[in-house]
Amino acid sequence: MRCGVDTGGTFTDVVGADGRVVKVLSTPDDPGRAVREGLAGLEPSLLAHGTTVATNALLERRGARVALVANRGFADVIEIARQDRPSLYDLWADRPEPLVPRELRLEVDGRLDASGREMEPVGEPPGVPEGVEAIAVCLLHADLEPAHEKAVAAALPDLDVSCSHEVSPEFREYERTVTTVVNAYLRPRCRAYLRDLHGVAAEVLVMTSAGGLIPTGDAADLPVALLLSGPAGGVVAGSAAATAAGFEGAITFDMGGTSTDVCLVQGGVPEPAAGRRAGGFPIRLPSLDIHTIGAGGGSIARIDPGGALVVGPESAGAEPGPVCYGRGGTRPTVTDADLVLGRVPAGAVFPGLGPLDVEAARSALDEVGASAEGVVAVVDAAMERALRAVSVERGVDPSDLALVAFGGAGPLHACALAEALGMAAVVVPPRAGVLSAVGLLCAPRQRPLVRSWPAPTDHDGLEEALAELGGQARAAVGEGAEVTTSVDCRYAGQSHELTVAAVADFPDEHERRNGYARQGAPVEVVALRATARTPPAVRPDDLPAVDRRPATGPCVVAEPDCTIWIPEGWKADVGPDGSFVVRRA
Amino acid sequence: MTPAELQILISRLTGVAEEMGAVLRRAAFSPNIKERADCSAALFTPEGELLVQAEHIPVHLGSMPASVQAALDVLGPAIRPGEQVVLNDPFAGGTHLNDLTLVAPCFVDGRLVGWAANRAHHADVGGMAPGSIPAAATEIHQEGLRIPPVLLTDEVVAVLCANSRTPEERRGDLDAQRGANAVGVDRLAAFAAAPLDEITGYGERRMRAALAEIEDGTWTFEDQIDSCGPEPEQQRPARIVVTLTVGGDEATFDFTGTDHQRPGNVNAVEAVTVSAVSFAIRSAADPTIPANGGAMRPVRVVAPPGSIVAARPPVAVGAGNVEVSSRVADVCLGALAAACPGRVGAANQGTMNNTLIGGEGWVYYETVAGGQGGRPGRAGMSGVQTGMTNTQNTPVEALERSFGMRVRRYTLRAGSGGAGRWPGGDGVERELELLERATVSLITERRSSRPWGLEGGEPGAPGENWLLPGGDESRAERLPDKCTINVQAGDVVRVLTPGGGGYGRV
Repeated sequence: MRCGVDTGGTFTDVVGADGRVVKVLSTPDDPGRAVREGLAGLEPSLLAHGTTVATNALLERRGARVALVANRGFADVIEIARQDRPSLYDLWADRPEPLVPRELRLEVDGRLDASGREMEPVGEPPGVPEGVEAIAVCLLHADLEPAHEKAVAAALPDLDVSCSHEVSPEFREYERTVTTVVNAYLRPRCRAYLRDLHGVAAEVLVMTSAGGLIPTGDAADLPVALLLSGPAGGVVAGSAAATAAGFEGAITFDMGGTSTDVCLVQGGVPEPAAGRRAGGFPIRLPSLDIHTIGAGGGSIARIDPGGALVVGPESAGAEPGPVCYGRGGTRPTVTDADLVLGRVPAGAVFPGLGPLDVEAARSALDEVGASAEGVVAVVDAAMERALRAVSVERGVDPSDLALVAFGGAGPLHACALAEALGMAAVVVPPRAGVLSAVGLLCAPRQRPLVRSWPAPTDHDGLEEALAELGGQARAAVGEGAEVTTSVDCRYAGQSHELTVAAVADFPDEHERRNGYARQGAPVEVVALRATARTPPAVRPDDLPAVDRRPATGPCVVAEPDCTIWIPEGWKADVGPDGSFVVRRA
Repeated sequence: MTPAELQILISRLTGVAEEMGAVLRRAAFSPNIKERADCSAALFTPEGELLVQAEHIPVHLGSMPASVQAALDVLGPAIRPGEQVVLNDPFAGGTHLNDLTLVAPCFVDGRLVGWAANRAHHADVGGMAPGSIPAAATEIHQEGLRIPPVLLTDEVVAVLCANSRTPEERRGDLDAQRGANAVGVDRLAAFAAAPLDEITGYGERRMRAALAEIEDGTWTFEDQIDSCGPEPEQQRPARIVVTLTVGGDEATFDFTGTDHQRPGNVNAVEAVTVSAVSFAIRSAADPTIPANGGAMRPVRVVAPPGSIVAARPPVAVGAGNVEVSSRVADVCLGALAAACPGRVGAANQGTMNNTLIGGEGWVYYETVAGGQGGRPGRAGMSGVQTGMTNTQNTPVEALERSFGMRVRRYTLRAGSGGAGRWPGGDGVERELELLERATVSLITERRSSRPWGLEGGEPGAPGENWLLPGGDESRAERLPDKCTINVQAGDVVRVLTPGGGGYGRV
């Protein structure tokens, strides 16, 4: 049987192709233990896995000791970054500490010019200091000509080397360097983890940030592609649920304890991005365009000295958690407010928790002088901004979109948000509390490739190059894979690119996104993209139906893994795939 | 208004300003706006008080209210829905000529609801050197086209483009600015019935609460601008002095005693000085105070007219926005370090190291990072934008693929941070090799004076500017802190930026 397994902060969720759901406590010291425990007795033929190993190693700074090889005179690019600081006014807001300390930034002679031609031959690579576990090589203009990086790598044969032209072959040296360094930093740990998973299933695939599955061997080479492994699963299943409910466009809304992820879906496909920030670093690798804000059910509410109600960014997290959990939390959170308002039934049972303490939640809110309605309204306003950022700000009208709600708190807040943005409906997929695992089970095998285009204004040979790149992507995934190609374009003189299917589509897309097009102005191509994917073997609607009945608000629908709040004046119907489709009555 | 309603209103309006900023940056043409984000967006009350801003560049945001005020003064009653005002005149609402500000009214049913405004640094608006901050300018007419508050029409755009060395880029950037304001106006209309003055009232309460925490008293701090231009007679330092008085929940920053404005471009208009004060007080008192007009009500700024912190026409002001503003922030922070110990670090690099280069058909502008001062309990960051700017760099690969230049070196300047218990951050070494003939202007500071240490920490190393003719180290010649030079293909310009001061005795 095929299984999807999502490792989360608190629970590891298993969903089988027969619809069974297993929830076990995560084991952060050895995440594979919970995976094996959750799969016990299932004998899976295929395991599709969403892992937090890469993300946690980066956030907790538990990666390898990495040395960086850069051009002479450029070793500190990794520290100078893009020069800006994270906060204008806060003296103590630091940029993240670079992953390579100064003494491990090594320099090599040699230089390419802006078109990739050699100006100075590559020199002898420097000696690698003792104790280095992995190496990142990032040389200027290597996206156009990899020869110098290859020469350096060849001279370091016994070491674990990540080259920038392989990890992120696009221009802008800081982003390419940091992406390559993060890859090197994660490799030893991720490789060991993935090796340990051998044998838990006949075949093991891992989810990437781009929403597709890759074999463990590829994942071990490119662990920087796994930073959104878990959240991507939820987006894949969420967009499938929107399609099944008849919506081509949607926003997925995954509200958890400490953060909330939203992602725009258009034409049934989650929006891709060329990169995303993680741990304060710009990771430039094909990814789903998931927008994260630091607010969720655990966000703490307080009144500030000017008399405004502030919710977050402080969070009670899983420990001690909201006041109502009775585990030592004393400051009121969004979850406490939801409970006081009756959106979470007082008798609700959360795995691993005793009965919820409504009175404690109420008095904690009273103590800080915040109303439960107010806390929910403020956190909803923050969510609304995130939803606008991925729709209105990109020229997409939310009135045609469904809001696909999941995660612990998503279905509690979704209707108010859909109302505020004038969205068409709220969709709550079946198994909304373990949706990431469902998405893993139902994700395609996929490989995105990208390559710089060296002559931006000269488009001769573009079609052939795209076809060649598409061929490489197909070869990586297997015969029968569908290939889509696209190009990153801009007007000559601009420096942000838009990704379009063909150069001819660029002016219209520019008009839609930026409000104007410049008819007749020369269009530059800076990068080519190709993605190969094979359709998933299991689709969400292949899973057995869950028991759901239409409901009319105001009411709470309590399911084993999720709680749904349907406000007064709203009505929930059950769609063909078992999703609740909630609309204004 | 309930605490929740207030927060929600602020959140929604801030979302509007952020959306304006996103449109501006996405649609703009010049690398300066898109790559470096040298632009800002904000919303204002009908009376011209700042409501919310998208956080971009400190020096823009504190000084934009003056632009809206100028637009109100000149065109206020006559302006109609759909129209926009453009201006860059430092003596009528602007800061320096490069910063073009567009101001648009939002009307609902004939009633003025508020204003949307945005500002972007345009790489070239004419004048005697590419980049429009010529080091040798002594009067504003040498710096470029001066635009008082006027309606933005096709004709005005045509005049502006005709005066720029890069007209197509100007046209594209102006389109983006106009589009950003249109979005802001459209979205602000939904708030026609909202009690917008609650927001400024909230800002005022926050600032008063923060000021009340500071002990009453008076503190004086002084520092200097090293030179006012490239000429020998401009090498005399100019003194900037501030007296900070805190009483109850109010504060006064009095610049009496500051030197008179000088022939040269190192002069700031008062709006720039106010923005530096606003930056300093927020970072020292409470960085989470919203930057709205209310927050500055309990803060008084006294800037003697005709001084280098409140310049009067026709003096040049190109470097006031970038360099004088940095030093004004330094003296304010110096005074605040005594007023609220433990909340202010040693001096940052204190200059933006403005580098302006023009070749055949292109103009490049960049500010180079340096060292942050050591902080109480933590070393300063190295190679980072500090103080009144926060622009990103132009990536080396983007620069080399767009301009007739090559970067030879871009690295940290080891040992340049001042020693201390918590040392200052290091400055940066940057070498640009010209691949064709070009004109280079450098407008820099802290080449003789040094970023001060605090609590016994050592000062940071001063910066250095060099020309290497033909790239030849043996022919290296020291350049002054402010200069405009003609260079040949193969020449190399080397800029070493200052380190931050150290904090605490070693």
